[in-house]
Amino acid sequence: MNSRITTIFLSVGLLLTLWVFLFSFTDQIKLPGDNTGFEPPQPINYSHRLHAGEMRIVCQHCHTGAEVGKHAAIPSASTCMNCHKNVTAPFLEVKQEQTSADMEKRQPKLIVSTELKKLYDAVGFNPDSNKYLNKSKPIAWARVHSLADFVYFNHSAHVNSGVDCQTCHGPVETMERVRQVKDFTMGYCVNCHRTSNLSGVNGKNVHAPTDCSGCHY
Amino acid sequence: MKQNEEKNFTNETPRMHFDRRSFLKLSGFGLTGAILSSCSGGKVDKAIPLLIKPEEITPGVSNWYASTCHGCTANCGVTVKSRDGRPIKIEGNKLHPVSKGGVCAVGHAQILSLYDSHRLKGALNNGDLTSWENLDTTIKNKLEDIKDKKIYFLSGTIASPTTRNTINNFLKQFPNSKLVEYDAMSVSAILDAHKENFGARVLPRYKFEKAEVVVSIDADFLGSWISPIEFTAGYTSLRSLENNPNQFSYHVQFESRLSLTGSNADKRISVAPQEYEEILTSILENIQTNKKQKNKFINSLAEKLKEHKGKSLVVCGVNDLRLQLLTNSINYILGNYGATIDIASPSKQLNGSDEDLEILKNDVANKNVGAIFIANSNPVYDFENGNEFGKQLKNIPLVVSFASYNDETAEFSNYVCPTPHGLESWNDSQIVDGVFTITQPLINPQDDTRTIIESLNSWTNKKETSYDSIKNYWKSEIYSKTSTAPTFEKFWNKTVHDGFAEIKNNNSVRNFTNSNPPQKKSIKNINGEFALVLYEKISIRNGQNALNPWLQELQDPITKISWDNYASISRKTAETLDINEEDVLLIENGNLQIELPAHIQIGQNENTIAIAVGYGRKGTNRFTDIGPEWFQSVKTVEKNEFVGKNIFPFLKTEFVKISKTGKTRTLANSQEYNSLQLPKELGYKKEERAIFQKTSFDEYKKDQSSGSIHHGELLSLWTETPRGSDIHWGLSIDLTKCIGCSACIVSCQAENNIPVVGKDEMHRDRDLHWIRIDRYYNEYENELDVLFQPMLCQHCGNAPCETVCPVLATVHSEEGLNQQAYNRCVGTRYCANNCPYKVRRFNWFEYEHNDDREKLVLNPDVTVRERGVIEKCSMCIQRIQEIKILAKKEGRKISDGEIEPACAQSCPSQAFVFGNLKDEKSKISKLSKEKRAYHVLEEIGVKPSLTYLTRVKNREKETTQHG
Repeated sequence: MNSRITTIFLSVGLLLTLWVFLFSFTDQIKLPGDNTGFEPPQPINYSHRLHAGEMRIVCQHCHTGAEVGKHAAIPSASTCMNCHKNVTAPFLEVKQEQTSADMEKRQPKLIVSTELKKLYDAVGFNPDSNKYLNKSKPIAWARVHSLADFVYFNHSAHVNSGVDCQTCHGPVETMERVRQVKDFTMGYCVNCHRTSNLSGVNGKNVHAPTDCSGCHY
Repeated sequence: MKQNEEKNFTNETPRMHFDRRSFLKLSGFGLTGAILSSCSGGKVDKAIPLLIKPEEITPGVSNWYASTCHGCTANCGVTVKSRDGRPIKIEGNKLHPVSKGGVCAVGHAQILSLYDSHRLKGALNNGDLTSWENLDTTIKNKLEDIKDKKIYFLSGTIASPTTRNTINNFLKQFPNSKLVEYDAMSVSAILDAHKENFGARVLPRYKFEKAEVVVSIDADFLGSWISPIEFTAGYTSLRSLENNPNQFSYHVQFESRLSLTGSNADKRISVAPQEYEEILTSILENIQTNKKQKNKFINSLAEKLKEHKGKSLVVCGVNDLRLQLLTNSINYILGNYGATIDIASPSKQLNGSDEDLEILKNDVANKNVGAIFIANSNPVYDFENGNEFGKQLKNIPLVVSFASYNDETAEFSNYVCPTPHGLESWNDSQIVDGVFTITQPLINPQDDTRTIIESLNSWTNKKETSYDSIKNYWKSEIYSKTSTAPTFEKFWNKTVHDGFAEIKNNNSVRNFTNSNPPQKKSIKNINGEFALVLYEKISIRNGQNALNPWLQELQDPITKISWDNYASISRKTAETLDINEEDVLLIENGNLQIELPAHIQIGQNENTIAIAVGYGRKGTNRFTDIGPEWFQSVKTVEKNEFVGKNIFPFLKTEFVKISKTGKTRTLANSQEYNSLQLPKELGYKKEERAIFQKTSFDEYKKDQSSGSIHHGELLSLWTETPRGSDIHWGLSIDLTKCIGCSACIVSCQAENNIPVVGKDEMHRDRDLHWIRIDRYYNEYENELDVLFQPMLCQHCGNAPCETVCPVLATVHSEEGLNQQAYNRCVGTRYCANNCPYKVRRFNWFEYEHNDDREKLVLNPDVTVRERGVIEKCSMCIQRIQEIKILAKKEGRKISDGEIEPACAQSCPSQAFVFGNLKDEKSKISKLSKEKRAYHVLEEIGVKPSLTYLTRVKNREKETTQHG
């Protein structure tokens, strides 16, 4: 077998891989397992900027698990429906329809935004009759933040010690679509645990474990 | 040079040639490519939240519900952990008045049976799946045809009062119908004897917690007899030195095989079954007439019994009316009725009647039966004439089985109405008179199944669910007897919450009437024949649990063998007949023949041979694909073979002949060395090693530190590292309380996602149990002494494993735990080699569940380990962390006893105590400072966090000396 042909063949292959890697995915070199910048499209274009930023709804209003359990958890659709049973479209659009209806001296039409239509389909809600139908379809969100299976992370331990959500998740209230900001590697976790033990969290003294068994079991 | 080589190669073999350079090049390119392509990331996982979140369910937070265990008829109280809609762990209900927080190995393993995909998927009509509607119409039509013929409902003991009521109501429609209850391992003679003596056919409730002198004739009450968990709790409460250091019960066991109970006795006497009667008669004669007997020991025992009138207990586990009547007379004379034996509030745990069963068998044989319903039992498997009975069932127009599996009996039934698992349906039970329990379902039925109550309801045109039937029955029959709760709803809610309701009854004490024992059986003893003893193993029991891989893999606490049954013979028999361990024996009596491997068992009576029932179950051939496959692997069972052999055809056989067949069969024995003395290869010494320290109660009373050997300060190989935390977790194990029941092993397996490895791996000592129970044989006054020692990671302060790990995968935590980080482990196994306790386990393969649905049992808080990493006891670190986070959240300190590792939680005798050694007031620090406390291998200076407490037995003196 001609070893020169092999070398050429492999070099071309390697260059091709490099090219695909460099230009189609990201602009920086990352280590395996580092998902910084991951920003998958979601089935419903839910905007954290609007809800958490503009409307200033606190994170745990919807992510109720963060305070009590391991998972902050994606809220169930019933949580959304608490408000969106009545709020069917952006305020401006509704207001515009109201004014034009007033001018045309008619009843305003019900406006349902395309994204909320997806929510209503999922829970089986008919906004026209304001009634629930008996058919529903769960929403398959794309998971953004994911830790390896051999790591145990508990939201409640962190939230109750006074760690801000933004410390790890970045400025979610400015994001239209949620993006992973921090690398979530062991170094990232342990550095924060070390500094927190020295300087506290938000002015509070804490004991953040730096033992292996703090996270690995 | 290179050319020459090339020539040589090409001349001889036309294979592809790689030199070192191109190999390096290739691997270099390959590696870089692999790394780069793995960097792309961005694999999208889906997260699907609930559409409507129920109030009590938070993802990642476990809920606990009270329920009842259905592993056997003892029906212990349990609490079940449910996580994200999946029940994943069974633990003891500490409030329960009968089981008192204990759960046995079988109970723990029920959680795995829940996820068994081999259960029936729906109703069967002559072997084919059918709809419930079709089945109901067919059965109702058939019942209409045979209305006036004899109709039987054959069942294992029915503990559920609602089910019993429903069956009775169903049978009422038919003039010629009867409910027959039977138990595979029957105790019918006890009930019959009480009928003769007291006029009521009841199974007494034995109160071991009041019995200061216990004499047991072949009753394995700590292992498998009636209600082992209740008895263990009672028995060990009188052998607990921390509560009452001046009192200790005295237990004598007469038995032919070495049972778990016998191993724990203060005095164990090995006798053949033929001799039981003589023992009972001479005890009775002595206490009745004070007449001295020939046997000196019997005399002294009778004296002890007489000294403890009303505080003693004689139990007999033989299903023989004559022996039971003798036992009753002894107990009556000793005044034990009303004291240690309760027949005013009797037990309901076993209710079978051999007499009724014989009538049924005759009717079936004589073709007098129009219909038979078979529930909670497997008669084709566990009758002595099972196969014949199965064939006779073919003559009955309507045979309906309520089996959950397509088992031996289902195969011979016209219709099968599969019942759901105990945790999938509502149920109730009455364990003892006055204690009612509720079985709360934790999950919807996974298959199209229906409870017995629901099936019978639909055949009587009642449209009630199990839940409604039970609630209605409780409202009309049980609530009326209580006066405590203001409304039924309140009473019901409290019962469902607690899992049980106690209802006082005012039954009067019955009078004793002497009865004439039946004729003494003529004892035949032909030379060369052996008395056959059938027994239940603590894991497989009567075969009901044979399809559970955790229980198949659980080693027998005495023989340490898993995945098989075998014929236990005495050493003397082995020598005279020249039988070696694992030789296959032919065991025969007339036409009955069976081939089983031999196991030479110390303590086995030389005239007997003991075989465990419950093996050879249909369906166990599925274990053929359990365990890894590699070039040297041996299958656990062949495709057409079952695990073990069914010995039930020998149920009524008393004597057998044995002979060698010349074949051998490997037994998976996980303990090869059984003595406390050093083996010959290592320089045999008569002195025992101090790993197991023991003393007698007499010596203990004189000196609490008797029996314990301490080496004082030794030269240490390690430099002391002070740890800053105010916590040091420790565990203490009281060897006096530990009876070796192995519940902790299965509890740990369920909690920590420990896989099943299969027979071949077990045989190669590659079991993955994080806790094992070492069993040693020793000698005490020329008699056998059996020692049980739970052995798990000792969490050494100076851990030898940590010293040798090249990648720092195992290091020490601030809180005194020896940690194992699986993701760092590269599998050098240096740590396992350097561990003096040999408790580290290595994942030689990827041990996957052989049933995909069983993956649902995994505990999401514990990593599932992959091939090539070491694992070991973590002291249930996930439970420690859970409570630590909870306490931190609530701004408080962890209270003593709040954290319980899986092994400690359900220990029926509470032998394990976990806590903070640095907290002066904690129970563990008191125990670790007790005079009985010692560390195993203290002399090597590894400073374990585990403390053992010397074993005490009620003996005069412990004659042997430690080295």
